[in-house]
Amino acid sequence: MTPLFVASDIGGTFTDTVMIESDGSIRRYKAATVPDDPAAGVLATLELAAQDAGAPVGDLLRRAARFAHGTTVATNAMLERTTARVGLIQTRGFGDTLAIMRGFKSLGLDEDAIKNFRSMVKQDRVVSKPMIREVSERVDYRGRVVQPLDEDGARAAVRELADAGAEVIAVSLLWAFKNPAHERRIGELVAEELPGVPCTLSSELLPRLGEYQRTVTVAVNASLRPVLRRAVRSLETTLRDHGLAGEPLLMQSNGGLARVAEIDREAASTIMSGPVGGIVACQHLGELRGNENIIATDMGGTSFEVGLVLDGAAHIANSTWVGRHELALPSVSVRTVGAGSGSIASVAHGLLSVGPQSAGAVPGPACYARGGALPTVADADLVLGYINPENFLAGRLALDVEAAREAIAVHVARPLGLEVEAAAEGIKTIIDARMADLIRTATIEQGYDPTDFVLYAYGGAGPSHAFSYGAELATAEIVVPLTAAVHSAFGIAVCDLTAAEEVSDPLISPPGTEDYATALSAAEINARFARLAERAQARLREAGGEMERVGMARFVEMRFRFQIHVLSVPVPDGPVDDDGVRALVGRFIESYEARFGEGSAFQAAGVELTTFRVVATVPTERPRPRPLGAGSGDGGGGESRRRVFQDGEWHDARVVTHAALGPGLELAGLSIIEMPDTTVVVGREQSAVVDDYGDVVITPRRAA
Amino acid sequence: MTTEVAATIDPVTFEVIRHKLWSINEEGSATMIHVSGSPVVHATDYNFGLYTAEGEMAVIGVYLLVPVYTGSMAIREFLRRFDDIADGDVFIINDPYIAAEHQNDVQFCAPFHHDGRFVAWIGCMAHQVDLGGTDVGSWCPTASDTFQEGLRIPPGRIVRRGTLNQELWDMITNNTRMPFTVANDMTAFLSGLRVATERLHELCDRYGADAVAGVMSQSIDASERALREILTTLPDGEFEHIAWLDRPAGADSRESELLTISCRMTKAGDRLVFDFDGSDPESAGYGMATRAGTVGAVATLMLCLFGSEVPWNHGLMRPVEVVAQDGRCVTAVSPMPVSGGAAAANWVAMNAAAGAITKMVSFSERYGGLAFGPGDGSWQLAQFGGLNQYDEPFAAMYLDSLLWGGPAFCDRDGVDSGGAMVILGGGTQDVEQQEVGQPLLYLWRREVPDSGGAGRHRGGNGIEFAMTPIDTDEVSGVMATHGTKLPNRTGIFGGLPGSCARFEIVRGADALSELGRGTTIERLDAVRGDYEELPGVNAGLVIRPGEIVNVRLQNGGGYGDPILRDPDAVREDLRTGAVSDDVARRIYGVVVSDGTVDADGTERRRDEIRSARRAAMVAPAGSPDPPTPPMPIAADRWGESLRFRPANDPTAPPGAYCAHCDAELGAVRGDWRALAGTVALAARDLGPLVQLPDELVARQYVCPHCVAALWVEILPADAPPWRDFELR
Repeated sequence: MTPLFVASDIGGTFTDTVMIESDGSIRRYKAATVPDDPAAGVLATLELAAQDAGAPVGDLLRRAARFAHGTTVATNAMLERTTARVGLIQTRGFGDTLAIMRGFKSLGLDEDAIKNFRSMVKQDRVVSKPMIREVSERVDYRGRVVQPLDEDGARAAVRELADAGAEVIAVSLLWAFKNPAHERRIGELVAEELPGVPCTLSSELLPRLGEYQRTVTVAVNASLRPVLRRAVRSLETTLRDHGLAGEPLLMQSNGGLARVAEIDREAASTIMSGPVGGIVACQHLGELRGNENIIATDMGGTSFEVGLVLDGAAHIANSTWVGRHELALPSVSVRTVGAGSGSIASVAHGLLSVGPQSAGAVPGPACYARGGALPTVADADLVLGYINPENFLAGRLALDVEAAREAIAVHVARPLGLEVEAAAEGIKTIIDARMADLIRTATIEQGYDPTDFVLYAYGGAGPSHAFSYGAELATAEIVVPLTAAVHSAFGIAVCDLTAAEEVSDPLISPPGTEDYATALSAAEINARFARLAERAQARLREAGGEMERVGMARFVEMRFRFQIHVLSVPVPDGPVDDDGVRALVGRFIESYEARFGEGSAFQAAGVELTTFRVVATVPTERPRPRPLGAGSGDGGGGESRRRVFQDGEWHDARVVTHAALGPGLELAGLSIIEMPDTTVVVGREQSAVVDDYGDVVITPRRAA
Repeated sequence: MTTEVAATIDPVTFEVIRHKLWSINEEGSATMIHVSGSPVVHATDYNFGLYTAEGEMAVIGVYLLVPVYTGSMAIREFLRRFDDIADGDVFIINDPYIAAEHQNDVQFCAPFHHDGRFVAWIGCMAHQVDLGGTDVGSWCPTASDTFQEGLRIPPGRIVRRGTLNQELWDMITNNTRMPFTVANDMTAFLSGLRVATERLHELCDRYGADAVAGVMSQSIDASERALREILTTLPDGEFEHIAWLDRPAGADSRESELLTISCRMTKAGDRLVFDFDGSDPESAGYGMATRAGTVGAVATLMLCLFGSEVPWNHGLMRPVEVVAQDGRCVTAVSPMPVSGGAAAANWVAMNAAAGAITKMVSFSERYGGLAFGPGDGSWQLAQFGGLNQYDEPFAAMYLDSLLWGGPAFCDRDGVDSGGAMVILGGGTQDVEQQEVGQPLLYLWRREVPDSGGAGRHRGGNGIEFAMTPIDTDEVSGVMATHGTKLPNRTGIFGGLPGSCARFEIVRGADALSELGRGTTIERLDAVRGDYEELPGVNAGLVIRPGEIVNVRLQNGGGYGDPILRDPDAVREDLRTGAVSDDVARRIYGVVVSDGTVDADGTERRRDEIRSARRAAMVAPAGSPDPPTPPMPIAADRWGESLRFRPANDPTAPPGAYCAHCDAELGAVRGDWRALAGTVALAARDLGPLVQLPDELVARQYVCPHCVAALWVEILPADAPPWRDFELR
């Protein structure tokens, strides 16, 4: 029985499943997600796979060496408010931390909303005031106990919260990460008073300075635990019933897989599991293709997401957003803007704008003919000829070109006095520029030069827009992976088992330090890393990882003293010595000046090492994707031509079907590749070639 | 020039460039805040903007708004003074008599040239933690002239053709108690300007400098056009609002006095003129504002009021004129002290202007929703200094003071604890971030129940925060504000004012020991020591470890009559603790038992309130004698207080009607209030946290038939009469 690697990405609309055979061949399946029953969508894709293989689902699952998945269940639960009811315990005097929100009513709003005093209000609190109790206790900034814990009061608070309907408890006390004694004691009291009720302590989940984000994160995490537990158990039961032998693994926001049991404590760490899968897939493909620096771009129906792979590793940020909430959990860095194929175009004060409002799946773009009457990017793509109305979702939804033209005519072309095609191209130009601006924010504005990068484009609409938004940044190549439409699932399939640990235990050099090795003790740094490494390894060992193969990446978050913003600086393997300390500070200053300009380093103030983090990884044995081999594209389905409107006029475009796709296929000038699950466009001044793995590699400017 | 360029930019390119300009401004702004080492900047007392070559605001960041307009004034001053402006120059200014709210607000502005063409300006500003003067932090609220205040930097160049003016730089860093932080902030300015300059070059390379300049000027033209269209739909006339600034009657005086700040706004066609000449003259003491601060405050109001309808830029100021002779308290000239006035007389002027505009837009069904009571009452300066826990000098202004409640609107409550208008996108830092930087331990930072004004929609509640020094021998404090004697945040259309400002101290206390013994300290009177309510203006306070200072903010006013608030909303306020049982019952007239509204009890209680109003009501004054001709009113409403019927309505006589019960009130002949009954309110009727000293009165104007509250005013008993509106 040959082992099989199976991975599913359970998205809001579709569930994608990828199967990799041990010889490296890849199959991909897509089915509608059943919102109330995430397992059903997975099963539907498995059934498609079974038909394909001519074998029952059970046979496939019994062959699965590993089943891994990503899920939007946490995100959806937050958006739909189906999370568990949290009872929150805080330090007396600070129970309004969540409500006050540090005063920022603008958190998580976009450009237009943030200028609108008339309608700007704070986002909903993650825990409402009646579900919060204060307890008498106080620890100071050095971790000294200023006021002892009032245990009777704490016990009463726990009971009151349970009486008020709390299903889970979260505890977030001031400075608990400096001295967790009070939180731990409250944790014990919760266990005594409410046996079996999950309890999240801020000092365990997120030992980091900043009570607002810490409390938000702890509360959200607590509220997601029962939700995620239910969803994962249901999936596990279904899969086991169908023959899966092992334990399903789950994708974490930090870009690694973990056991379900681990995730139960850190439910919020799955929030980004879908988007992160796509970036991990880019990292993996980059390894094969020799791309160390990648701009990963995912254009879907409602949003456009950008992540980075730097020196072969997915770039990690120290927080992530869900709606308007920022969670302080390390996450593969993904920037989002409301730009997708469903983004709606409108005209106000004689000015054309596109998005961030989206037509979503229902009513959808006008061309879906499901009741949507407002023009969207998808309508523009159709009118301009980029999309074949007969080839959408493998022909399962015929698109209505006339409806698209009408919507654009009424809402854009006539108000602006333009022809429909010109208006459609205007919509496309604006949305593509909006996406290019986000890529610019994620690269140039962070000190990265896009010419050092290759751009990968995936998601439903990425492959048809990348030739345009990708060309603006002058990257060397634009790559549309073969797995573009199921890219996240592919990433999850090839991902490693990881465990991340961090601690906020600052080391400070005084102002005017000349030799940082004298002020920042190498021994102290080593001690912190040793403690973290031990904890991370223990978790992997529990997860059944092969410990002899474990790899350890180490990072320090650093800043100049008195500044707020930190940069994450990697620390090489092995013990740190005095030279290592000097090199660390040197790397920090170098990357700081790359970001903020030469001479901007505030060295006179001294530096602060704020947070130490290790990410331990066990590389999983996995098949390399198999080169397709010459001639695998049989040319069946043939070629055709159709008109595409670009730069103000109609052009004749070459159209190739997926059946013709084989390594070495070359395309020059305006061309369209129609895959069953997406459409790839090559621009007029561009050329493209299909590589050994079936990826379409576009050269943005055709060599002269 | 503008129109020529306009013809060449298509709407698609326009939108692409417009968004790129916004991104460039954001990146410059983000760079500046990252590089800055100042907690004040991190807590958003800064801003960044792109200006046209002529100095008009084209793209504006969302933080402290007043300086965006003073930046425009500064640039116009540079253009006036210097005829050798060159590529690579960076100009500096903080002179409040020319173009700043106060000396702390240092602005850097860089002319942007592309291929030899002068295209635009890039400007940034941040509040500097200290620039000298008698008090740590350079807000010197007791200064008697400007020479006791911080360094005054005239318009000039800090960078000349790419070369730093090191002498001027050193001159500035020599005159601050915090040279590290100030030097770092100036470095941050230069970093932000450099990044924005690079990006603007890229943009001009791609689209051409003409297109970029064209988009800036066209955006401004478009907003101007849109605002003028809106103004044209609103009635012509005069609109007046008077507000008061309370302050100590003299140096070391415990008595207070009131300064009158009057705004008479004339609207004719598509123009607005704000006239502040009726305000009191300048006088040495707390609260004087410069013309720059006052005009900047009016600009802030225009952005926030009409910015929800029209894209933000200088177009919103083009139809506006601000009239005030030099030497009023809102146009103080040197050597009047003005450091403490950055947020005093000019904010009160902004409140008066907000009142006037509100009275105008409320005649419009389409734009009536823009009406709100004053967005910001007072800046409750809480500035501390001394030696921190690391034995380093510190000077810290607590931006926690920004977390007041927002004003209520016709369709929603004010935002709680963070409703500020003047720093729209801003907030403060975590308690932990403050405690790790300064030797002050918080006892609480919490929302204050009943602190927002009651109304059909409730004003936002604000916070209070209490601290005690720790790990230091003593901390010196400057705490200064107005609004301790009367609320500046009035309600509208029958809504009540928000709470007054308050500073409190418990001297001789040992809070740290009491906490150590396990004592729960939730109120100031839970600690042994001498409680004192501090006056509005305090310099040179000395606070020792264990002593407690508490800052309670003044908050948003309500909208509409409180007894018309949805009882379920009041029940929810009770559940979340936003409103106390007492206020729910006494002011909202809502009876809740076991968590549900007692509908009958509520109706009975509201009837009692109506009966009390009726009993206390002084009947309408009626028509003046001899009667003046009726005011021509084409509108059909005024907020949610009045309705009007036109002369040609066959079904009913023309004139004003109560918007609540539709009873006929009569023709408006002068002051509309002559048609309303008057109820004198006591302080407790306004809310538990509103003060009402003897010299002030509170009047509730009610419908003489249904006694619904139409407007509530708080004013000196001897205040001159004025007319809210006089339509033409």
